[in-house]
Amino acid sequence: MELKGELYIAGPFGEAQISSVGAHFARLLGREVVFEVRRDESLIGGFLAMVDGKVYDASVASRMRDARRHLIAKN
Amino acid sequence: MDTAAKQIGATLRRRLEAYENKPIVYEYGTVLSAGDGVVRIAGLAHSRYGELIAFENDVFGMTLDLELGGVGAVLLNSVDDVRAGERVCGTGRVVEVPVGEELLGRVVDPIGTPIDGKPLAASRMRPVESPAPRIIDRHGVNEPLMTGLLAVDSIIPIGRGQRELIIGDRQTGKSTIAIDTIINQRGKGVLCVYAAIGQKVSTLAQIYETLSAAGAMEYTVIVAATAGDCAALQYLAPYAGCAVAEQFMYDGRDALIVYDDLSKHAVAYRAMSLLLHRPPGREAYPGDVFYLHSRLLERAGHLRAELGGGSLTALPIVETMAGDISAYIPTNVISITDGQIYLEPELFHAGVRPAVNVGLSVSRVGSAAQKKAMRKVAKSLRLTLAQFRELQVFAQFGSDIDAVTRGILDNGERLSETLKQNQHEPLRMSEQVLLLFAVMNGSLKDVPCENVRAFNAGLLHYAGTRFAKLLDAIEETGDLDDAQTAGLRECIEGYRLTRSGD
Repeated sequence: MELKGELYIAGPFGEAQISSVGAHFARLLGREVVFEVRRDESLIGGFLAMVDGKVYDASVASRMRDARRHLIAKN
Repeated sequence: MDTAAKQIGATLRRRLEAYENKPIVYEYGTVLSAGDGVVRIAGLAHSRYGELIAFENDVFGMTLDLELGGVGAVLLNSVDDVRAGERVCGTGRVVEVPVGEELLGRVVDPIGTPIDGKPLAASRMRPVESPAPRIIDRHGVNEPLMTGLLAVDSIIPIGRGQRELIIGDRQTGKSTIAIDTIINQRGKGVLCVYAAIGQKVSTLAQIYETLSAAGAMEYTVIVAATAGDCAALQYLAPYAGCAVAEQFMYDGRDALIVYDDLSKHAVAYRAMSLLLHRPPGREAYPGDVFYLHSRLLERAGHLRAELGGGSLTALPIVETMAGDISAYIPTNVISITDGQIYLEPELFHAGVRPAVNVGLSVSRVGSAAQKKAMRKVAKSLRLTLAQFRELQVFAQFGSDIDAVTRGILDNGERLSETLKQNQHEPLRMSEQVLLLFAVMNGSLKDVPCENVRAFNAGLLHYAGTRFAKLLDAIEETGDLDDAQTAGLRECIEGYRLTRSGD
């Protein structure tokens, strides 16, 4: 039984890239994933996938937020 | 300048090298239903109890019910911005508040957002809920916490690390005792937290003004969830306040926290529990309402010297209805705390302020912490007052009173007058000793009852100008030796002479 998921992407994304993301998730979860693809410009770049109750955030926006926190952290 | 820039550059480079560029993975759930500040969520299978969860639009919530297939949560900063079908993310963190000395002088809400209009830069965070100190981490209560109120410090002494309940009907001066205690900590190294739960904003503004005017905000933090805030915030307020105060204790400082008041806290928790469909018990409170307060008050205590020797004194306030101290919440909190100060409306309206009912008030551990000087002058105080109250009722019926009874009544009346005190005018320990010494040794026998307070005020002024050294010595040693006793006698006699000259 395949999993349903949502894939958010920032800009134009080729079919090949989407299917490579899909293949990656299939390897990670051990099951086929069918993505509903949506555009979200606020991600800036990269993608954000929601599958099986988990969010896989590989967007540029969240990495910038994360890097910012990392750089200004005390000690 | 150049080296500083290089240093910053080097630090940033080092951090960037250590930075791992990998995707962030976390759980999400879907809102099934939302209403009255309570949300049911499907998913979030691995969330923890009390975890902070993030909705869209920057709304935050806290998980409270963990069930198979979903969780129940309460909203913290909004009640109507969440819709069914919306995504929710776990943050992996329990609810935390900023702590540390940066908070002194500030007013914050229970999630640490400043509500006094100024930015807050606190570097440390602490979970709102945390376990109480263990038995072996604790030390006995051995240091007094002076309230500055003669009636309390002499008869119901409070020690640092103690939990003393202030209980009474509405408008009997409960908050005033707590505020006076905070004001009296000026210069005594005790950091204070005032946790306001379900109070009117106007009342809170007034308290802030009072504390500021007395210079007490310098060492005080106000954590407030007002009557307009949602039940979840009111539920969190005492725990958040406790986390702030607790950090002071673990930093080796002495801290005082006032919970004003826990009856409103129980009501907020009842509302939340009923909305989460938990079964109601007595007075419709949920079954764990005892644990609600016991786990909060257990966090007070006095730590061993090896752990810094800090202390956290708790002054919870509970409001009774028509003097009924046998209602559910009052009996619960009475049994948890180390004693109570019971305030009575009859006394309050008869002009006895603070309206402390000496018979029903106790302090179970504080007497061990009382200074020797105070113990010496106050030892028979409770008995004298009890005898007086008994005879006072009796004397109302008969007109023929023998000399001994008359003596006890006269003495008792002067003692009651001495125990009266204006609000926000705390007395130093040595001043309290002086006043009690005077009245207990019969120096006020020939002073008419209505002049007792004027006599006492004059005596304090006289001692403050002519016998300042004696007062300071008593303050410093905390004891009353023969020479100091003679000094007090001399001071009182000297003052009596100046009055007889008028």
